[in-house]
Order: sequence, then C-alpha cells, then structure tokens
Amino acid sequence: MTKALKINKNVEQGIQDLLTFLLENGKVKGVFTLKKISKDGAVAYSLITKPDELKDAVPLFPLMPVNAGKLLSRFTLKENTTKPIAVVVKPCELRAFIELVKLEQGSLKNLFFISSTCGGVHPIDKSVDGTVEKNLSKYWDAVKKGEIPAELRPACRSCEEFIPYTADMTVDLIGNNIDKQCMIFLNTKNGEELAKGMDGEFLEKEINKGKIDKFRGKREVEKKKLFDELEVKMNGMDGLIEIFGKCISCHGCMRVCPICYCKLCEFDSSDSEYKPSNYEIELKKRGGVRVPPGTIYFQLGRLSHIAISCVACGACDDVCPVDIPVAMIFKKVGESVQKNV
Amino acid sequence: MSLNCVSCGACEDACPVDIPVAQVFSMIADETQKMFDYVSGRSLDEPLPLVVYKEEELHEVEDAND
Repeated sequence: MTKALKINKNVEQGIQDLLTFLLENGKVKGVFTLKKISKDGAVAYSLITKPDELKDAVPLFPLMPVNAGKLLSRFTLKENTTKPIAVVVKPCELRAFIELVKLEQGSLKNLFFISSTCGGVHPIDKSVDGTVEKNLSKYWDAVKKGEIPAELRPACRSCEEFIPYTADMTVDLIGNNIDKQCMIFLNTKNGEELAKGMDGEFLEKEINKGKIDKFRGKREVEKKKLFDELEVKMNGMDGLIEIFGKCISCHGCMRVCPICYCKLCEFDSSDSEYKPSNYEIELKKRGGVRVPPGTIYFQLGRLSHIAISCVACGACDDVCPVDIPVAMIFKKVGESVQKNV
Repeated sequence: MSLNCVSCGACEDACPVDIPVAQVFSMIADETQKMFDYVSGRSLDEPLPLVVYKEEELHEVEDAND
C-alpha cells in the first residue's frame, strides 16, 4: 500500500491548495509550474515564489509548450538550486529530466516532483487559437471516464507510459472522480513529509489497476494503428525519401527535443555543409541532386543519437512546419531499441 | 538582422505558435533600411550600413529624444 492524501475538492483546486500550502508553510521556497500567460489559453512554465502568484497557475493544463525536462536541465546545469522547489510536470517530462541528469545535464538536488497519471496534451498550435481553452471541459470529462481525450498529440494518444516512475507525489487523474476529489499518492518519504499538515484525509491506497489497464489497452490500440500506418509509409529507402524528403532543414525538432542536449551540433557546424566539390562527386553518379541534400542523413543521424533515450513526448511533431510525423517515427524506433537493451 | 532582412517570410512559415515574425521583422526592416536609404540585397556595390562610419549622421533620430 502507498500513502495517499485525499482532498475533497476538484482536482485543479486541490493542487492549487497543495502548492499554496507548500509555499505558505515554507516547505518549499518555489513552485515550478505551468501558468496562464494570455486569455486565449497560451501557457508557459514559470517559477513562482509568492503564493499570490499561484492564482494564474494551471499545473495540470493539457499543454506542453516546452518539455519541462529540457527547462529543468538548463536551470540546474551550471549549479543545483540551493532552495527546495516543488516541480509539477508530466510523466514524460520527468523521464526526460531523469535521462538528462544521467547524461550529466542537470541536478535533481532540492527538487521535489509532483506528477500525475497523464491524459496527454494537445498540440501546441491549439494553444494559440483558443481551441484548448474551449475544449477544456471535454478534455477533463474524457480523462474522468478513462477515455482518450480528442485532438491530442499522436505521441500522447498512443502513450502507454502515462504513470510517473520517480515522482514524489502522483495526482491520480485517469478514471477518477476529479470533479469532486483530488487524490494524491505520496510515493516517497519526501512526498509524505511535504504533505504532512495539509487539510485532507490521509489514507493507505493503491492506484486502481483495473482502470489503468483498461486505459492502457485503449492507448495500445491507438499505438498499433499509428505504427501500422508508419510501417506502410516508411517501407524501404523510397519510403524514407518520401517521408523525410519534405524536411526543410529548419532543425526545429532538434531545438525542442529534450534529449538533444548538445550545445554544438555536428549538423549545425560548417563541417556538415556540402561544398560544390561534394556536389560534383554526387552529380557524376546522377544528373540531379536535392539542395540541401542531407535531410535523410540529418533525420537518421538524430534518430540514431536519440532513440535510446527518446521519451516520446511529441514536442518534435508539434514544431515540424511540414508535418513529418517525427514523433511517431522516433517513438517506434525508440521503443524497439529500448526494448532490446 | 533588420538592415539585412529581405522579408521572405520563411521564419513565419516555421513558427509553431503563429507569431507573425515575418510581419514584425518586415515592419522594422522597412523603417531601419529607409533610415540608411538601403535596400537589402539591391546591389553588391552598396556597403553594409553598419560598416560605414560617418561622423555626422542620423540627427533626426538623436534629436527625436530631445
């Protein structure tokens, strides 16, 4: 059995209260959470130290403007925080950060993690036209019923890793009566220590396995569908050319990828520029060549670097201006590589 | 950037959150290039405005803040 805290309020209010409690009682000195930055639903991660500032915080908002793992890595790369901070992130953001810490790109010191059983997030372009805000009640309705919400990132729609592994606290969202109650599992000693003194009922409980398995089943079906589609599209070299040929080499996928942490990338360096003499060699073999020619090399190069650590957050998909299903490709390859080590 | 911007719009195409980057750059570029009677990429013979030193210039900008 795991210790749990049940707050008899809707889940959003419950989390707000918990974060306010942590700040007001000096249990943490800061809160790292999503916060509203405009009326039409745009959100950004923020570091909050005054309880008043929490009023615009939306810790569980179904959007991921940036994978927080990347932000936390940049925050703690040169020095760890000396003050305790409560960090509210999605499970794949937490996994990305753990991966980065293992790659010596950040520090976990003095950070306490609050995550949730995650319903998934909408693509980022839905945040700018007000769609997310408009469909918010539908999203929470689906999560409550243990259904996959509509219009999610493909990576989220097909995600089976929706339970956090290393969070100090896990807010149980999927299949839960989140309108009426906020159920928080206290997974670690730190989690228990932080929650001590908070208004609510302290219980011994487990996450409902039946509900979770049912939800995972739905995600598996989605995943199979998306993977099968890819299988057809990506068949052989012609398939790769078809799918990656559209790439405009903006390298946006690389910039937003939490795992792509190198400050100096081979693909950005002048060494990987094609000189006229390089073109000449290629043009001796065939009569025409794409300019720039390295799009497949870039994509496959990145794939080989990232696959072992890819957390399938879907950030790359969101920013691709030519709609290459980058995330699903990386997820598919990532899964088969990670399974086999 | 604004003195060299050719207002091609590529930045706007690639912005995932629909910031009108090209419009903003193009608007500022219009002003700054006018200031130097410069059109980005018009001629190889026109020196880049920021590498030309003139002791007396841009009084209208300086005086605007007086």
